Amino acid sequence: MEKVLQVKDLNISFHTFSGEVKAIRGVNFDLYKGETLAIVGESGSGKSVTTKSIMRLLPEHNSEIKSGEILFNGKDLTKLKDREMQKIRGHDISMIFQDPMTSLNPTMKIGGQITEPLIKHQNMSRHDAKERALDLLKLVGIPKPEIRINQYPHQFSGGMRQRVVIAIALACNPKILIADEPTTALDVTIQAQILELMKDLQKKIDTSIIFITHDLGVVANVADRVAVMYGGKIVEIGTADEIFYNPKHPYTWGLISSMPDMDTEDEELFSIPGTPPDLLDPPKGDAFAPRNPFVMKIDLEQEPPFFKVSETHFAATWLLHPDAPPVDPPVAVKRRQSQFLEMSGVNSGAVELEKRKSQFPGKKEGK
Amino acid sequence: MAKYLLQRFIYMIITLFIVASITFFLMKLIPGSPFNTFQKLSVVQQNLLLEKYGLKDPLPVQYFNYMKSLVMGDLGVSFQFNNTPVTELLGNRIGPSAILGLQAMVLGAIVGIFLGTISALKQNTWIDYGSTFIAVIGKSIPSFIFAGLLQFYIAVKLGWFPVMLWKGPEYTVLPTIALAMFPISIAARFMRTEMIDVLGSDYITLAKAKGASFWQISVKHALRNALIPVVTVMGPLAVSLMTGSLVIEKIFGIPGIGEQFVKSISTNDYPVIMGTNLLFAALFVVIILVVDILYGIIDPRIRISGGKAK
Repeated sequence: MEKVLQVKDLNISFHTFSGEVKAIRGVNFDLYKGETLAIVGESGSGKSVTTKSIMRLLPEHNSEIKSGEILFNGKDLTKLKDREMQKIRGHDISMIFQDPMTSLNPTMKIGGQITEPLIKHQNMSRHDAKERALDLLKLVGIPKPEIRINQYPHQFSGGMRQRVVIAIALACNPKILIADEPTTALDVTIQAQILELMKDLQKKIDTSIIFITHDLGVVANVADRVAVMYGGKIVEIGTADEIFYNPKHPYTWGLISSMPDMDTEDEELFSIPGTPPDLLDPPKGDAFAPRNPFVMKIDLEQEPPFFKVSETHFAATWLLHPDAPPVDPPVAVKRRQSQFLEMSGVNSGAVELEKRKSQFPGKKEGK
Repeated sequence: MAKYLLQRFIYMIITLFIVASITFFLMKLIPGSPFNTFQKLSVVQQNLLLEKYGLKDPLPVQYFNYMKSLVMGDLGVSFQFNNTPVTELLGNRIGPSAILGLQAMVLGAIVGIFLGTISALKQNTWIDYGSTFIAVIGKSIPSFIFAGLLQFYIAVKLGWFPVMLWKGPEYTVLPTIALAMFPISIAARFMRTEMIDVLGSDYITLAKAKGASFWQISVKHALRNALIPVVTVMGPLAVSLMTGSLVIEKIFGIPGIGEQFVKSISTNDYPVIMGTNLLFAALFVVIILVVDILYGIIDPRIRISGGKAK
């Protein structure tokens, strides 16, 4: 499959009064043509920062890309000049934001806001751009576009505004669409409509989507692949099925256990104890170690490398090391794993680890 | 819109009526009489004059009589200025003050909005510090110091503009600049704060994500949204500028309304006090109406749609 975007060893810091916040600490991923990659993780895990850095929308005065590359069309986006970046924004890569109530300019007509990128990137005349804007409004399912195009954002409901934002994002048929929690601010029925719309449009214009969310229900609905972020790093990445039914990282286990489903028998909803790591002073070993019920001594000393679970599935946890003691994942995860095994028709234990002893620096340490 | 304007007009009349009433009674609390300042008048003569102008009547009667003539458009005659009708007196005096005030206001708004905008766009650079410095200077140093400095350096040393008096457009330049320092600093400060606020908002990020350039973002998207609060503060400020500055008018020898207003109070010139106050109040309510209409032009969310609630 063709890679449209490669993020390589990305490190981003914010300079604040209390010091340097290492928000992104070595993120790697590829985005393939036509796929939807979901990035999940709790607040502060670096989901938005990663995607904003792709668009170069991080605040200039206090953020710094310390190292790494973001390759798009053979160009490293981190090194482009502002003017070149402007040509890519809205044209090749566009973005949908979290809160449709605030992401449209309140004093500008909807039509003007949709035609702006068309006039800018495709040199359309005002008239042609308006025609295209009408088509786009129809495409995203806004009734009476001829009237709506001359209205202001306050005359639209939240769901309708998000449709407009999607229309703006899709105006120039971008190759990559970044959706930063596009349904979080919407109520559940509207959420479903917007998700359907996005899936539908993705097929029509064959774009790749990076979908940021912390709603695993949404992920299950839209994603082809899932990257789980924690403490400024990707800790597990794989296809949606692999992440949902055969998760390997204890953080992913926590996430899955805290998602109620039809089979849940617990009285109380599970939540991961503790708080996210302080990225002003990131922990030496695995950032998740203090909250990990399966913590080993090595977790506190050394960051785990990625262990390969399958061709598409990688997880950064020492538990996957062949020398690690077997652990008992939470009930919800085990239930899902057995479903996974039924689905894929393989026997238990057949999911093999590629043994990378050379990467294992210390002696095996029990819990 | 017509219905809205009519409604606003009725409110304005009510406001002016209340202002007139309050001013009338407050004014009567000022000790002294309009005529005892003339040493030459005997007590008998003073009493005769008081009698003639109805100032010996009980207060409610005086009030009723004043309101009656006010409704008929008669503001009475001045006690101090040779029985000149108050309307004529105000008509002659408001001109220079209003011209000066308007010029200072326009200059202040343009320069202030410009300074505020660039300092927000170039936040924490020397441009920002420079314009903040100008704003602090303009707010903390009184206008008569600027007036003196301008007169000395620009008029006397360089001779670019006349030092004082009121004989033509070139005479308005220096007092306008001196008077504009305050609105410049107010507009600059508000504009900077608002602009920074707007530049951090989601729709500006979206505009960036669309590929808009720096100038497209600042002019097309940010400026208009940042203007709303600035218009709010600049409206009432315009009134206080147009109704004259005693100090500036004195320094530049301008026959404005500010000086006359102060004089009318110190001499208990009741009709002039009332007339001037009513004029100021009328200007005020009109400017507020203008500001409200401007809101609608700038911000579609508060636009009036034929009196119907949206």
